[in-house]
Amino acid sequence: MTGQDAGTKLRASVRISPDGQYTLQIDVALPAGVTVLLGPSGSGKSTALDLLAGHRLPSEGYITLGESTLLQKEPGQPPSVLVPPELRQIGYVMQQPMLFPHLSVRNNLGYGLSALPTAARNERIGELARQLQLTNLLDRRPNELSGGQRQRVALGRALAPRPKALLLDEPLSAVDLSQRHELLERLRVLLGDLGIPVLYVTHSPEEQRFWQAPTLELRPSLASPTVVEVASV
Amino acid sequence: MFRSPLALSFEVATLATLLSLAAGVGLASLLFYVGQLGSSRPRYRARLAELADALLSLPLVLPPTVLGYYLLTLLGRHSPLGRAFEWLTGSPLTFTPTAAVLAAMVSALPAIARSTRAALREVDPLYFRAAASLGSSPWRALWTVGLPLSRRQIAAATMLAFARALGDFGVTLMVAGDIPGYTQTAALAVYDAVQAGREQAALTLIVPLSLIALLVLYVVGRLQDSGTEHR
Repeated sequence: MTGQDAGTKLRASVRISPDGQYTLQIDVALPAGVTVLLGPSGSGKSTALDLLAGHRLPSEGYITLGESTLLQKEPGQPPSVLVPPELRQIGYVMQQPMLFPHLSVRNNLGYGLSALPTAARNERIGELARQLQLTNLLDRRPNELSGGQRQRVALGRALAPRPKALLLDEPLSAVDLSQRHELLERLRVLLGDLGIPVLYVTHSPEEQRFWQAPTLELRPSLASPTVVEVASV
Repeated sequence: MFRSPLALSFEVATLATLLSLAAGVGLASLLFYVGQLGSSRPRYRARLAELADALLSLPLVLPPTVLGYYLLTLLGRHSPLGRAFEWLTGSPLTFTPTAAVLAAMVSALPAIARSTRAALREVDPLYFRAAASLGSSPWRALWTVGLPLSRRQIAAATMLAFARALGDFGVTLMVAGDIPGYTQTAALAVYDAVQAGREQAALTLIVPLSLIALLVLYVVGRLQDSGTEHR
C-alpha cells in the first residue's frame, strides 16, 4: 500500500499433485495489501496455503518473499532451496484459532516473541492487546473466551513477530455470525496499515465483496491443471 | 545398614520412577521428533522410530527372567558398564540396591516413554503448525506446546510406573538378588515369608502394598477423566 513497501511481494509458481489425481498449478504475485483467494471447499485452497507456509512440498516450482527465496525445486530432484516453516516469517491464521490452551492470552500473544527481551516483548503484547481490544483479557485462558475473542488473539499472535506476509484461512469460520462483521471491520483497519502481502482465503462471496481487493479464484478441474493467476502485479 | 523391605521398596521405586520420567520423556520426545516432526523427513526416520517403539514394547511381553538375564549381562562384573561402575565406586553393580533401581526401571521407563509418545501423537498437529508459523523450531514446539498438552497423560503414566516399580519381582531377583536388609524389596520379602509359612509377616507387607496400588489406580483414573478437555 505505502510506497516504501511496494517492493515486498510474495511470489509463487508451484505445481503439486495433492493426491496424484489432479495437478494444481499456482502462479501468484501478491502485492502489499489484501488479496482474496476465493474458491469452494475442496478446490485446493488449503493446499495452496500449506505450500506457501511450507507444510507441503510441491513437485516443482519456486516461492520468493521480498528478496529471499523460500523454495526452489526442479521436477524429480530434491529442492535446491527449502526454508522450513519456522524461518519463513509468514504469519498463518487458521480456520480454528488453535490458541495454545495451556497458555494465557498474554503468553499466546507473546509466543512468537521469544527472541525479544522481556520489556520489548511486553510492550509489543500491550500494543497488540490495545489494537485488538484484548487488554482486559490478557490473563484469561483460551477456554474462557468467545469465538470472536479467540480469533482476535490468533490474529494478534500471528502479527506479533511482524511477519513479512500473512495468510488468513477462512478466519471467520469459527466466529459467531453476529461478531463477523465487527471482526471484518477490525481486520480492515489492522491489515490496511501493515504494508505486507495478505492472502485472505474464503469461500464466501460476501467476504470477497467486502474487501474490494484483487481476487484469485481456484477452479478444480480433473482434466486440466487448475491455473491461478493474479492479474494486477 | 539394615533396610526394611517396605522402606527399601519405596526408595527404589521412587528413584526408578524419577529416573524413568526424565529418561522416558526425553526418549519419547526424541522419537516423536524423529518420527513425526521436521519439515522434510525421509521414510527411514519413520522406520527408525517404529523400530525403537517395538524395542520399547519388549519389556511388556518378555518374561522377567529373560529381561533379568539381559540386564545381568549388561551390568555384570565382566561387562563394560559393570566394570566402569566398579572402577568408579569400588564395588560391583549387581546385587546392590542400585541394581534394584535399574531392575525397576526396566518396566517403568518404557511405560512412561510409550505413554508420552502416544500422548504427543494425540496432540492436534495444527498446534505444531501454529507454533512453526510463529518462528518456533519443531524442538521448541515440542517442549513448549506438545509436552505441556500431554502433561496429564505423562503424570498418569508416571504414577502407574511407580506402582509397577514398587511391585517388581522377577527382574529385581535376577540382578539385585534377595539379600535381607540389603536388596530384599517388599515383593521379594512377601515371597520369602509365604514360603517360610510366616503368614503374619507376609500380611504386614501385602496390606500396605495393595492399598498403595489401589490409591495409585484411583488417582490415575481421576487424572484420565479430567485429561480430555483440550483434545
